[in-house]
Amino acid sequence: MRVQTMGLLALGLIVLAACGRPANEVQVTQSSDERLSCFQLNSQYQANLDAVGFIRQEDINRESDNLGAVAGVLVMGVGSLLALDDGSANEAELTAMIARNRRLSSLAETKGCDPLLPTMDTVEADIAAAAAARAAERDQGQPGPGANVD
Amino acid sequence: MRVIGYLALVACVVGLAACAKPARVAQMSSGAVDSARIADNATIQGSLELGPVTGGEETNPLWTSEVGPAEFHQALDQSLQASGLLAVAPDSAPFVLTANLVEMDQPLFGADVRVTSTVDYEVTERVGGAPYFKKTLVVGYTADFSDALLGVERLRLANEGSIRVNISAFVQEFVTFWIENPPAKDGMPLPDGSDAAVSLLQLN
Repeated sequence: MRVQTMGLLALGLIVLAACGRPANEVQVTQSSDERLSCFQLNSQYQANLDAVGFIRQEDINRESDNLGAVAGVLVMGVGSLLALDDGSANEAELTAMIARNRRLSSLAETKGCDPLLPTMDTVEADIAAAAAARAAERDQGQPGPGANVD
Repeated sequence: MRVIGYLALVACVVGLAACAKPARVAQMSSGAVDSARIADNATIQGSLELGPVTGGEETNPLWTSEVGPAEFHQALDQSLQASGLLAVAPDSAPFVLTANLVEMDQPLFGADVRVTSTVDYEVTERVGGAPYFKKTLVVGYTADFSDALLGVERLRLANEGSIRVNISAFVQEFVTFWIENPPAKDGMPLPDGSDAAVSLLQLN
């Protein structure tokens, strides 16, 4: 009976833990937005695009880490599942970053700055295509086009 | 007695459950810092090129999470760009920033994991190499149980947080110094600088 209780306790801990890290989202609207120069708008926009790339790469790493955690059950027991990450933090950060860049684009247009490129429509289409390719890869066990993040 | 044995077993399994992973660039980037003051001081915008970044340590998966030199370089580069300090064309920047990640002071284990990062920052004139700004920033950051149940993951989060606030502190210190000591023009002497000043910041 005690063994069952301890097992349940361990499972409870795993369920509590396997939600990943806390999200560190960028603020979509910031107090100094109206004061930003065209240079600052473009710099921040390009930096955010890089961040989007890093987050997407981390998401790919997370998927392989999760596979490793599941496989680790055979070696280390169910405690290995504590390393599972559901990816919600990555998703929240990515969504916020895209929304922030749409805000920066809007500000640039309002201020008469050069358009910020590539547009977020293009970036989002690229993200969707890469996600579809990865899903196809998982289904077929073969790499699909666009599976790699630039 | 058997309950204690089981608890110890669970604790061991939890402790061994994951290998150490290196710090993530996106989690170490400060994002845009001090945007308003940078907006008000047009000359500071695009004033920096990121030069050599040294220090740090690669992660051994069987030991503790660390901050690698390449990841630190990328995080610094991205933070400077987000803040509007990085020049679009590096050759056009009047100043060059070099950084050395001297130390990541980490505990081996603990419920609250506090990591203190020590980074030397130095800004020199592109032409002539005269020093303009030099400061060592020592910044602590704590990750607790609510951040991650796994010790290795808490350490990783504390590493990332410590670097993030360290970079953020550098941007704020640099902007303040720039406003108080505008760079010299046309042969005028540079300000004395904050030579070898050490700031101990306790954040989070």
